Amino acid sequence: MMKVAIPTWCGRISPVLDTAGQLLVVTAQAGQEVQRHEAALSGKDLPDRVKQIADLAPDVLICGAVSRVLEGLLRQRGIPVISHVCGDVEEVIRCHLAGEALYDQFGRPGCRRRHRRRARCHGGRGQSRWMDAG
Amino acid sequence: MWQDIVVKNAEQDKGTNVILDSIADGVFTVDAEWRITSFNRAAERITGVKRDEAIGRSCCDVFRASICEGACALRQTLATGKSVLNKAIYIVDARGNRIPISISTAILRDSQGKVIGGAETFRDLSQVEELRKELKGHYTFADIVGRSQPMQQLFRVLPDLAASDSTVLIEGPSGTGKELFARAIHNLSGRRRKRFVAINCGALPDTLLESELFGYKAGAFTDARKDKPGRFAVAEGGTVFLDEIGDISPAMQARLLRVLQERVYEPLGSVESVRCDVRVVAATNRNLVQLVRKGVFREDLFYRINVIRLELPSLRDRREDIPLLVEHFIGRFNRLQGKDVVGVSDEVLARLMEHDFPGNVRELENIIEHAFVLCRGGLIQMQHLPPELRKASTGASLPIHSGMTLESMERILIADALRRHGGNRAAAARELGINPSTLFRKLKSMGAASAVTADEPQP
Repeated sequence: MMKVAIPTWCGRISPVLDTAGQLLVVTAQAGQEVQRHEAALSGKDLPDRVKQIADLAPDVLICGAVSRVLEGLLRQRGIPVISHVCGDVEEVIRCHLAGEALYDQFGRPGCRRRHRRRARCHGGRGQSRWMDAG
Repeated sequence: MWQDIVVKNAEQDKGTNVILDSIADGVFTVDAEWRITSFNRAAERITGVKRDEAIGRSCCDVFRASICEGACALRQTLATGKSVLNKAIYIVDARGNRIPISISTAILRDSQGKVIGGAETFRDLSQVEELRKELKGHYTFADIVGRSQPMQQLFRVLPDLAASDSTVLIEGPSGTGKELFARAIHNLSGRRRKRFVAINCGALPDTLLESELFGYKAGAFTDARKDKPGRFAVAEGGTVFLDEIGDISPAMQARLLRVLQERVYEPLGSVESVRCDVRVVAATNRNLVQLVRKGVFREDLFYRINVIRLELPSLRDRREDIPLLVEHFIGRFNRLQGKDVVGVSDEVLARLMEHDFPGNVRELENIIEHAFVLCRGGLIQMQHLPPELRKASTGASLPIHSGMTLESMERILIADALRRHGGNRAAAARELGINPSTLFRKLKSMGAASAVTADEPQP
């Protein structure tokens, strides 16, 4: 079983995870969706937001833009992040569950070249710079 | 005041683009479907997105602003017909930096007056934000820079440590950023909505420190005409940062111990105890264990503050962070001083990499600030560095001594040059005054080529 969390807005991936209001959590088995539910992201600051996401225990989080601090905090909680993805949520889920690379089709403008050389999912390592988490 | 923009025809549109490219503020326009129809040069610079990548894309995919989802200013303008002026928001760039900007919006109409979309201008406020931080001293996570193993280790434990609410002792040499870490702990803790109050215990005499920390009642001493709350009262519910705790007197240690043990204190001149709910983060550049052994620091207080201990590494123990820190300070001073310094020369970087930095990150910051005074733009060169750094490296720190073979000395010098250049063979060869292929041949003969290649930074 694998849980994929995606912040959504109007059927698309939410532009900025730091301010996203809704999270779609899709549970899949052997590449097939078996369950989905939505959760509100009401955390007003980053530590609250990280706790809300971590409580949902996703195996991976696919999102749009995300500040370095938030991405770092999520990784430290053991949540791998695939950031700077944009487009239709259903298409992104389908591609991800099919094991296809996301950046070529759904990479955000200005980020695709940067991410092309990176792995699909880059969890684990912490971040180099930290920002105000308040 | 912004007026609605009227576009008459394609030629005029082209002319408009030329004008838009000449202005310093970012400008983009969208059609009725929120697709970007024009994107000027300043917009490219601020967002980091090229015009050809932006045109035709949904504006929220390109702009990535904090308000895209909940309070889009353009949407508001198109719905109400009213322009938004200088609204302060932030966007997130491809590196994950939050860039503070101010935006203004207007409706876009065709020659018949029909609404065909909207226009948004935006201004980069990074410089203003940097000045604000400089004035208020509000440095936070953004200013902790480090990719090295010791720093990554600290970053990994920070969130859990912050959440614990226990007293923290931060140890580290002067200039390593103890207050930044204390602020980071506060900002990540459940107390973040309350105050963070810092006080340098070593800078104040005992009586003054007591009144600063605990406050006083009217009449407590001459000139105490009215009650004054202490730092503990100001920080109620938040965090008190006690810097240079190793320098406080035995009497003050006893008073602090009571606060930490019983969570109560008495303001000067008061007969009533005040209960406090404050997290204490203490810091010192002295070795408290040794001070306890010498009997200068109370053992019971030491164990009270040494619940969680963070040891910050000196800069010479995380040399690989120096290029990153140099880049960070250059960016900061560019914003503060309105300059356009692009970096440091290879020679300067090599010199900085071999310097011992007794003053740690603060010393590096001062070196870059000194260079900014002398360097008008372009690269910081050796002549822009402080005189003591301009002297050629003596190699004194290298383990070279008489009686060594030439081959051994060569091996040490090559290894040292490679280490200082992060495994970059071309830069190391340049510094050693030999051809890169010669260096590779020497490495191969030493049997080190593969090891060095493995150490090279990945692209």
